[in-house]
Amino acid sequence: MRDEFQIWVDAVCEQVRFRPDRKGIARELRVHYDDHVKDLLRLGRDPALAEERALAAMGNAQEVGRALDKVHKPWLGWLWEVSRALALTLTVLALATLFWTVGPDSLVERTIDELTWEEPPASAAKVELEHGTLYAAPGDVTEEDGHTVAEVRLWMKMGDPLGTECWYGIRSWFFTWRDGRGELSHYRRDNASWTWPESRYWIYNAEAASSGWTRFRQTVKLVLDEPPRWAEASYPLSGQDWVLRVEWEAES
Amino acid sequence: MKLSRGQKTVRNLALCALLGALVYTMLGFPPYTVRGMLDRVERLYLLSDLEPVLVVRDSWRYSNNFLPHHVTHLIARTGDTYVSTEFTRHGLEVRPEYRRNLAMSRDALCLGLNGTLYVAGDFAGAASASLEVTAQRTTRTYDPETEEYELTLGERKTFTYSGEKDGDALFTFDYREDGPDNWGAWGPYTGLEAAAHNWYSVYPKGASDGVRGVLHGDLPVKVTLYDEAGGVLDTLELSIDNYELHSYP
Repeated sequence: MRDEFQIWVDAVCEQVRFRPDRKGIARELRVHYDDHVKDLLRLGRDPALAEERALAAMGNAQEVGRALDKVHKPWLGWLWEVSRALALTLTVLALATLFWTVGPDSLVERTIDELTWEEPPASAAKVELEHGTLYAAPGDVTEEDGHTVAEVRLWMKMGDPLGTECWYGIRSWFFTWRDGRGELSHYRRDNASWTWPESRYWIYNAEAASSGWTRFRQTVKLVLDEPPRWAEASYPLSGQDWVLRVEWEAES
Repeated sequence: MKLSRGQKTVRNLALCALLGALVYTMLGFPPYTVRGMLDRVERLYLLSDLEPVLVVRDSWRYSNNFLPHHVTHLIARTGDTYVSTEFTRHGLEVRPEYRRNLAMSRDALCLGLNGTLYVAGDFAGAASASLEVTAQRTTRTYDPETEEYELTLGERKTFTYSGEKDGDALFTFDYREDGPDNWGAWGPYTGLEAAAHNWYSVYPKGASDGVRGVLHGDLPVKVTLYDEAGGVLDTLELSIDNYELHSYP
């Protein structure tokens, strides 16, 4: 059977519309009530009288309940509950994303690449595009397997960051490359022969790529028969009419 | 300092915004809408003003995966340039070109998808179209000792389909004859889908049949456009990778 105080507490809590708080309110009211009863007992009051006085001092259940309801606003209570659940969920999600999807190394590497990105030389050819600026400059020219391999260095500054899957930055493999002798073929492992062409092709060099969030660097290798004097990149497939021209200094 | 419930709520919501931004960044700013996907393609491939021509959504699930992969196949164009690509969403993660590389071409583009060939181009004046795809038995053997390849070409077969117009920029051609799971290297199936799978093979030299791999091959595609009176308006020479003609989504 409920005691008098419990009946009073229930009447108070019924006024509080935010139900999840009712238990806590009841617990706190009980503490106040018990403290008051103990004080009265310490003063030598009879236990029954002490309980009666303490209960009377708690006030009118309806009024107390309405006052508590004003403090424990349901919208704020629910918003708080939702914010807690959301914060917890997002914390778990962030950890899961970091360790299972991306890996902390990737974030660190990209941030380092972004921060250590070196500006292209002032002499680099440049073209302004809708999403950023593309630069090109001549790189090393070496002899490999009887061919001349001329590197062209590309830089790209984007206006907005690219996603983590774009570790090598923009996809430049639809570019067209040509030198003084004409167009180079983009190396594509040919299904028919499954062999490399002898020369006069270009290949994207992923090993030399650097990928920040908005800053990227790539290298393209032109496999030729002789050292080039110049090379041009264009993008006719896209319908754009820009040309990036790089020139190597003649050996003295 | 004891915070009020309102202050705690504000603190939690601020934390949520921070965590949400962090997760979105770590996921690589995944695009969840077609517009967002096209924006990503534009930035990756240095294009601009892409507009969608075709959007096909599909989903599949690995047997050991709890969450399915939701794939959005797209054909888009800017001026005379056409691209086809796909974005795969798995949970919150969205990956471009998860199973197929982006294809780009001028004037027209052909995409094979789950039993249907889509041809995109400027078809405002065309009333109807037919399409021919030619498959040829192609076998490549590889000698691991000499690292040499030998190519053997066999019979050719041309498959012809009539298309349905879908707007001013798209024709669709249904090519599925066999059931999607009925093809196999040794099956008696003779449709395009089966030929695309069965006729393109790669073997190590001297190996038994069990180690057959499916070779990539570009199949020539010829599209003929007709006017209202049935006269030939134009013909387009395109190609399609045999892998696109398989039934996988």
